[in-house]
Amino acid sequence: MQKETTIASEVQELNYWYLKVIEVSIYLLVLIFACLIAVQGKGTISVNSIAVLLPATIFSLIPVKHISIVTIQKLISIYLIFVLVEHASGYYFGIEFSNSHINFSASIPIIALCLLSYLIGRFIGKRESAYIAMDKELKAAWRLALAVLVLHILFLVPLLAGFYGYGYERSAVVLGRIFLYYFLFMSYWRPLSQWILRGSVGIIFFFFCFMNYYLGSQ
Amino acid sequence: MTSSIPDISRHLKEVSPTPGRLRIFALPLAVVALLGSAFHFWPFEDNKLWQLLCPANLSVMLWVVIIIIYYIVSWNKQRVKTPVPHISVIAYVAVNILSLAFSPDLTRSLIFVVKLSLILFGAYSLLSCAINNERQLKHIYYMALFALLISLSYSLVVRFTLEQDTFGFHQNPCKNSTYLGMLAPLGCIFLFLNKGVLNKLLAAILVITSSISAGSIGMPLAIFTGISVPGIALVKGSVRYVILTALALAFILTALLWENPALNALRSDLTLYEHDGKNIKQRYIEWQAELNLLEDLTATGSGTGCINEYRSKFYYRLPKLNTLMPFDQNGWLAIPAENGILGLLCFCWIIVHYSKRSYQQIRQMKKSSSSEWLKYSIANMAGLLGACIAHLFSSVQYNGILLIFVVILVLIDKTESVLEQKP
Repeated sequence: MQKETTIASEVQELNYWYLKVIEVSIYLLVLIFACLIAVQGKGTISVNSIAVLLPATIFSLIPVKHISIVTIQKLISIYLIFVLVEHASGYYFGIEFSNSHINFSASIPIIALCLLSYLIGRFIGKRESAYIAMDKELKAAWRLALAVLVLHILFLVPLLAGFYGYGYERSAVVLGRIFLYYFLFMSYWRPLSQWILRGSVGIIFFFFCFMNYYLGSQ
Repeated sequence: MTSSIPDISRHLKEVSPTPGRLRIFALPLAVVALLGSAFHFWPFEDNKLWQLLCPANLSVMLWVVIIIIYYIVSWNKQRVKTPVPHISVIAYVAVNILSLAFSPDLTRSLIFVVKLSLILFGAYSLLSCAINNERQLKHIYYMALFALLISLSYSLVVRFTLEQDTFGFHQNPCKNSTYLGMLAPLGCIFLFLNKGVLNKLLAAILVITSSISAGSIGMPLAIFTGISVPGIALVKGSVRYVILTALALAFILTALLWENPALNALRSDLTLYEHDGKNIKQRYIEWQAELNLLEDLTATGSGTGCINEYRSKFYYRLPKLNTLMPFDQNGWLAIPAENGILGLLCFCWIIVHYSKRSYQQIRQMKKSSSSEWLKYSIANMAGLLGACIAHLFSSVQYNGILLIFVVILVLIDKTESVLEQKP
């Protein structure tokens, strides 16, 4: 019995190291991918006041355990991810519906980051019980936010279509972008409880700011 | 009934309740803040300094100063812990601070964030410290009712007797609608559920007079939704029929007075089209522009308080008519337009969290048959619902109106904690 327990714990330990290697590899991939985008010149961030974001980034890097402070740090990190995604989205693909003015385009880096974040969210990251209730509320908050936007679009599209026949075309694109960010958020939120991921986001952001300054000074 | 969400304010309350010396200041300052909000920026509406230092804001600032001084001089700093709102409110303020980085006018955004933080933290702390037992909880409801009476009475007098095109102390129909749209459901449901015929009569009068004093569609919608939904779904017995009768009378009286010049503003606000008949109302074009803005600035928004700098760029082919009334702003769209999608998420988080707590309180009190306490919870729910609807037609974030939103959040928080003290 004791031998079986020892073997089981050794197997568990091996699995733990195996997962850790995958975890670190994914973070490194994210870092390299993001830095490549920045170096290519598409990753400039036009921030009016960097004096706000840099201290916030530093704050998010402080290793703490208090749930409320970690939540704010996660929020800052996810904000930085959203900023990076918004400003680093260089390459687009588009679908145009014939016989109408409606078209849908999406950024390839956004989609790539979404897929990557899904992998991180799906396989990595511990689910701590203290955050479960908060995560449920955030999911409900997302549903409310999406419902608010959808209801507004549903009200405005017939109104504008009926009166002007135009003006509503971008609403579908807006909805698509919101859903992409929603997917990003739901994938990254849980893993961001880990300091290493928050640290990676902070490093990437510093790198982008440096590239922005370097490219701007040339 | 305790929330399973980690909550700083709960932790602090358990560690150290507000010291008696601080509580002496809290209730009077809370009363001044609440009653002062009814006067808004009267009598110096155009003075920027007065807008910052009006009685409502000044009482909150004084409270913050008292807390700081008390903390510095206190020998036992452990006892000086002031309640802070739920993490969702802190997250919302954090996103507003982050959006400063993308603001084209940093000074304006900074002032907005400072005023927002002052009320969301300072007023929250003040009102929480002012409520320590059921008697003080009742005081706040009665003060809210008194504020409603002041604002409503003046609005009715100037519009129906002096025939001025003004909307009480709040001047603007949209701000007036938002202010009363939150207070009226809170106060009226509280009175309806109080014992005694006089309370119900007063509540009915308030419902009727609120609906005829409206200058914008937001107010009747907020009042009818805020009162009818809890009134029908949560209230049992004869009180439900009293509420429905009051709402029906309000509707009938509004219809009878429809051609009265005092209702000109409401009549014109109910249409979907401009007076020329050739264009949709500028408000709805504005809504579409804010949605269009989200396409380019989904993550960062335009920066806190800076939507005016950007929105005209996002009209695209839609006409810009310059007929939009001041403060006619859809808060639900303005928040993501200014702070990005995370700003809207955090605001929705606030609504979800406090709605859930309010609903849990109602269920708990129904199970324990505490009808005396039920009135507080249902009134809180009514106020929150009214705020959500009023937020569609003018933002609850405006200085002078945000205080009422904070009052509703504090009442939801304190009803639970005061009830837990009950033997």
